[in-house]
Amino acid sequence: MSLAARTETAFDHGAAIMACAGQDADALRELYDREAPSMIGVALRIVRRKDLAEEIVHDAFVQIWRKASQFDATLGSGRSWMYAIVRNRALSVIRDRSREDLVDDADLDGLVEQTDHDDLVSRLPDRDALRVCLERLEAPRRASVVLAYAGGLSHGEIAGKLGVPLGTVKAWIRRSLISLRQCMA
Amino acid sequence: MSDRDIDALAGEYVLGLTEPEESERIERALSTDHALAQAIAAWRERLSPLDEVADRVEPSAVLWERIRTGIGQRAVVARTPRKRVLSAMWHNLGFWRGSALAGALASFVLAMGLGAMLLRPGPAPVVVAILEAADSTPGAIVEAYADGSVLLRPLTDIDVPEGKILQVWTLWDRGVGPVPLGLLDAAHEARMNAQGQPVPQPRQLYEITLEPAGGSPTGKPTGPVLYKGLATQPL
Repeated sequence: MSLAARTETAFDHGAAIMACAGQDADALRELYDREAPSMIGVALRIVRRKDLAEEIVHDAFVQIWRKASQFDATLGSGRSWMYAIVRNRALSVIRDRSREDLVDDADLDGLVEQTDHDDLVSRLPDRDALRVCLERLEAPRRASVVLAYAGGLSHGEIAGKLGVPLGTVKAWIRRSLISLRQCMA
Repeated sequence: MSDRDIDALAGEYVLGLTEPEESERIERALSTDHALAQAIAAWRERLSPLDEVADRVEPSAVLWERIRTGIGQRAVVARTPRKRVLSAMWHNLGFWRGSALAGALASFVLAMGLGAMLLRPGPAPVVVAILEAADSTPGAIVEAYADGSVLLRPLTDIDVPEGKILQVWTLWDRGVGPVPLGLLDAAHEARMNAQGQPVPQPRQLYEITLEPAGGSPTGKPTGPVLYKGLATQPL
């Protein structure tokens, strides 16, 4: 069971998103109050600058409002739909400008340390299916997946960080995805 | 493509590892390719626990206000009740406006108004500002209170063309930039909420701009500044 499911069983993100489609700004505010801090955290892992992370969350909420009618509850949870918008926005920000630029522009104070991928996995609840299945992967393969998803690193950046050829990273990711899917089925 | 290929592609897309052209192709295909849409949603679901363990970082106080502006929602602009005699006189501006002596009288109104305002019972504003047009004609008074409420009292009718709206802003830090306080469809007294912002300071800027209906699309002023003024601390 996920953390959110354990702590927030009562709140239905999907219903709030559908209320947003009906122009209910209070529903958006409710989503904001619940999720904005965590969304800034997700964006921050990728862009590593708080001002940019806030900008991303701003854009994400405007998009959530505008695209609310496109949300399809039969496909997945409202929560994961919202976070996909945040991650997509963060990824397009770092892909538009190279990461070097982002770091050069930043005040040193404003720059956040890159997240430690192993620490992130260890924060998952012990019996969380994703945690169990990630831990079955060899360490560098697990790192590749987590660095891509949480850190927003590209194949090339992962290869550089782990000191392995690009082709190796691509193969690791592809095989890890297949293993994860089978393990979590 | 086989199911397995679709699934791997969907996973790479969700990880953010597909090339830009491929991502665009996937996004275009989503509305018609239900299997692909399902595979992507399933990957988002599988990986979402990693979002849940992100550090929580409190947003800055103005973020919600900027989002609300971004979605074109009006701030609370309920007309405030007009209870007091001085206040009622204050609002009877037709008389003042009609006068040929309007220019000279404006200063008088201002003096009277400020006097009336400061004599009123109840909590005193932390700062007040007189917003003036470019030709120094006074257009509105702003009173900002310690509880975060901001009262705007127009001193004149303001022409709001079709499809436009008045937006009230404040600026206390150039680094933060102007922050929206609320939208008005016409010049009327309005109480706005600046909760979460720092306590208003002397020399803090207040201004009214003309924006597209729904408010500035960028979250920062885009239209002409109609009235502006710096806050002062009442004695």
